[in-house]
Amino acid sequence: MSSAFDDKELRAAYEPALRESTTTHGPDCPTESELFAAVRGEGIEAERLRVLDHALKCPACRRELALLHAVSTGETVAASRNIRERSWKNWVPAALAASLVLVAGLAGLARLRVRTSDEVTRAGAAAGPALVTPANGAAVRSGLVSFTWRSMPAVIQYTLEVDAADGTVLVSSPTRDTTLRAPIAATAVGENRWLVRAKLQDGSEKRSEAWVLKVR
Amino acid sequence: MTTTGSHLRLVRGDELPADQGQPYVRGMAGAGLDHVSSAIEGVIARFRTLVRSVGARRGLVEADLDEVLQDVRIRLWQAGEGGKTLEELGSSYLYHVATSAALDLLRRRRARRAADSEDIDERTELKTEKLSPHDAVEARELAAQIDAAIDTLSIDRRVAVRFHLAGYDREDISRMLGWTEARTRNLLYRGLDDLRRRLTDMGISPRRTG
Repeated sequence: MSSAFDDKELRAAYEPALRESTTTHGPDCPTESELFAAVRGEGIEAERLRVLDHALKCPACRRELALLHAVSTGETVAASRNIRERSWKNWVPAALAASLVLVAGLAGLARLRVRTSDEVTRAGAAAGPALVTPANGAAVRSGLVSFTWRSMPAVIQYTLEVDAADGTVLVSSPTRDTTLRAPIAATAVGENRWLVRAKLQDGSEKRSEAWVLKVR
Repeated sequence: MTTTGSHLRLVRGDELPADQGQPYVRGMAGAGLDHVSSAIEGVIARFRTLVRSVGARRGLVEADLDEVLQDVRIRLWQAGEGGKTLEELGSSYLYHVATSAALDLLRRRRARRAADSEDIDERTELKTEKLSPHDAVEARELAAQIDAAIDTLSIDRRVAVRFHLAGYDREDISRMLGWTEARTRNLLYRGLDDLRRRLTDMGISPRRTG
């Protein structure tokens, strides 16, 4: 058995850190307005990263982040709909309409959240396709590069992905085969990673390890 | 008198609530009050469900949400009594009011440097089994070691990992950081891989039984 944490174990082991319960802010804490701007995705990325990095570690800010995120997240769903009601006297049908919008949004969000979080959980816990070549840490020249991996049962599609250190996707190519020649741009010079995602017949997805690919 | 919900009492213009300690809002007189109050409570109840579903597993404190909804309830009443129609308000008005109420709550708390400590039991879906004092100390130490390992990651991967471990999903991370879904996924995978490697290097492994 692997000695590394799988996703479930990691979450469970980290959970005590999330239970710290101070509400006292320090001098480094962002203002509530800065926090709200970050939750809404406003401002430059570096500033959002700074604010959110702090907020996720600081118990007092983390609690505020959770509240601001929860009350503002459904806004996009609600804003796309209009309640068709005429007057204050008709709050009841209007409320019913609003409720339907909210419930529909809730159901949609719940489905989406279950799907996305499950993908991450499965990816962290289950073995995906075994990579073959290029070897982990191999250096290649830019241009067409051949990637090979072992087949898995019940797969309907593989997707080869090559991504840069900052997470930018350089290659994302679907295939039914277990080998693919993909163009690696000269701008990809440096240390990248490649992996293969396998979409299974039951709708789930498994991910291979990520191997280092150096581009010269 | 009309009772609505468990937190706020709506009363007609010429009445006082039976329990003077209960917060209340004076509303319109007549039969319309029942319809209005039940409609508002219906909207509030469903909004609460939605917000709780979003906040669950992300550290939302129930008491915070209740305090915000109390304010939202009052603002909805005031908007209605001010002659605003629902057509004018729109459903996004609810979110606008809620975020505004949440920000006001945080400002008030910070202004008075609230020292009220959070009741662990208030947190949604962050309950764990009871541990012995020794096991609890060990669990906290392990969490602190993981936290220290996370601190060594690059900031983009660190934020992605912290979001993930705090219960946020990739959609949340993408939206707040303005990243594409693919970039978010890559940074999260890389971050988690880096973290596992750091923990292995530190000699930290999961406690498994059986």
